[in-house]
Amino acid sequence: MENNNISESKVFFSYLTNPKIKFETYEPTEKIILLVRSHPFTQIYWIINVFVMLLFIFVVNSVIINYFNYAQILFVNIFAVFFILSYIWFNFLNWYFNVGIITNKRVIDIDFFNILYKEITVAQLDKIQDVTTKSGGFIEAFFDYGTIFVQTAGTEANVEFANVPMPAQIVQIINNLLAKKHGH
Amino acid sequence: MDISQFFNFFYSRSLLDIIFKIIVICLSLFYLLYSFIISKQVKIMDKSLHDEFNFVIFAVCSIQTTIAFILFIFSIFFA
Repeated sequence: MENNNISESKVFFSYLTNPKIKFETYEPTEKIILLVRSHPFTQIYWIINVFVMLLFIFVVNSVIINYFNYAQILFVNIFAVFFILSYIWFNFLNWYFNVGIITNKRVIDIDFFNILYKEITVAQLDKIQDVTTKSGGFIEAFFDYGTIFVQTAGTEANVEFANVPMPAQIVQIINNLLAKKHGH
Repeated sequence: MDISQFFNFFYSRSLLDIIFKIIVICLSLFYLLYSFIISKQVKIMDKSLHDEFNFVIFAVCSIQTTIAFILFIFSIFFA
């Protein structure tokens, strides 16, 4: 499946094989094998928050109607709706651009903390010593997601893919690449 | 202005309206700045991870900035 060049996406665009993407340090000779994002289920907390905020607007509307005129109520509602839309957009961007990339040369983790802070961690395949996966609990087992730790030799930074879908397959892909790299 | 007029002014409708207008203008200005920052940051993110569908994200950012600007103008004249 991963050996052909057909792009395929699974689990709501959180597991993409052979994706047509480019990243900052992309080399033309490099082949992108896999791109992973956090499992969509891990984003449920902010989706629930959105519904709570919508409910809050209804409650606030019933209270402020006695104190403000119609134009003011309209502005309060416009701001509330824009606040919620911005919250959705902010969280979506956070999810969309926090990715893990596996190429035929290296493993890359691109993280944006609150959109503003960027952190890119790279582990060359020949420096990788160990790949482990952590997946525990009923929900993680049910939705098949977990965290992958890629440990590297020496002072090289370790790479972590948090809450990614199908962790076992990802570990298998990395192990296959390592075996090819080391000629096993 | 005697003391009763002073207190009447503070509890009057007009003062509440002025405070409301100031808050609305500040919030809309803040939202406009926020939308600019997000647009700028999305360009940086696009460099880090460029996908063929990123034009949709740019389009949404442009819509957000346009709406924020319209809201700012509206808050000055209509709030």
